[in-house]
Amino acid sequence: MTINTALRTAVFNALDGSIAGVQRVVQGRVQDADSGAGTAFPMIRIGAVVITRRDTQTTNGEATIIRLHTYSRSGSYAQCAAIQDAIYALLHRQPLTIAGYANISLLREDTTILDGDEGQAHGVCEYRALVHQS
Amino acid sequence: MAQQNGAAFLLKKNSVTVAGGRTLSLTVNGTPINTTTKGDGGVQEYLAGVLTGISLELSFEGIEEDGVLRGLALGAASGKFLTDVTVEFPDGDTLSGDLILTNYAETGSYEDAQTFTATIISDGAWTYTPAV
Repeated sequence: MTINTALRTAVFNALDGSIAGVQRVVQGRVQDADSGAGTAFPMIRIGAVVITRRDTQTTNGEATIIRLHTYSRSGSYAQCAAIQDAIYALLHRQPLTIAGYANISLLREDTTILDGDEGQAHGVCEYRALVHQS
Repeated sequence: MAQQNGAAFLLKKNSVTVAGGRTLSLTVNGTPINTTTKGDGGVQEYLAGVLTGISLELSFEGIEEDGVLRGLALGAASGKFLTDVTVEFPDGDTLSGDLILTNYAETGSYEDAQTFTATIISDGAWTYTPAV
């Protein structure tokens, strides 16, 4: 399994069903998860993963950045911020089990909340994971 | 000679590659004997064909993976005198001889893997064997 897939799966497993009030954790499009009913919010979407080579002479490793999106239709930033705090508690400096890889460190790099479509609050946070093939 | 892959420039102990290395550097030093006199017209001269203090120095740095160098650095002084270390060049040339681990440092950053640097110097003559 490539690190892209393995990392997405590991983060999904860590977040899915672990944060009270979050209706869905998805990897696809928000539109496909909700189908217009609005019942899938608030939701977390696993977004882009940027992978940078970080090898040694004897081990293949990567530095990765995974972007997590939080979508809330509560009408304020508060719900989005609370979910991002919950993600932080689950991921920052926590041991992440990644199939086929050893996770050396997992740190939140940055976080922000933007104005989304139709009054949504759109949270974006990025986590940096250092891994090597095990 | 064709260009060579730096990743294949390896430090080995007892025939096993020391793990985690990212950069290995080899420096050969030697000091000529200055024989300059007033009669040389201000131009320095050296004793032909003679070098003193001929030595070899290896600088090795990377991400700590196997604890081999750490064990030597923190162990007894006698353990730093190495008789089973070889250097393999990417084109198959090899270098062997008695060496001494003279410097070792490890660094742990709050946001990075544990890294190391090491300096190894020659102790006596070495054997350089070009690849067949």
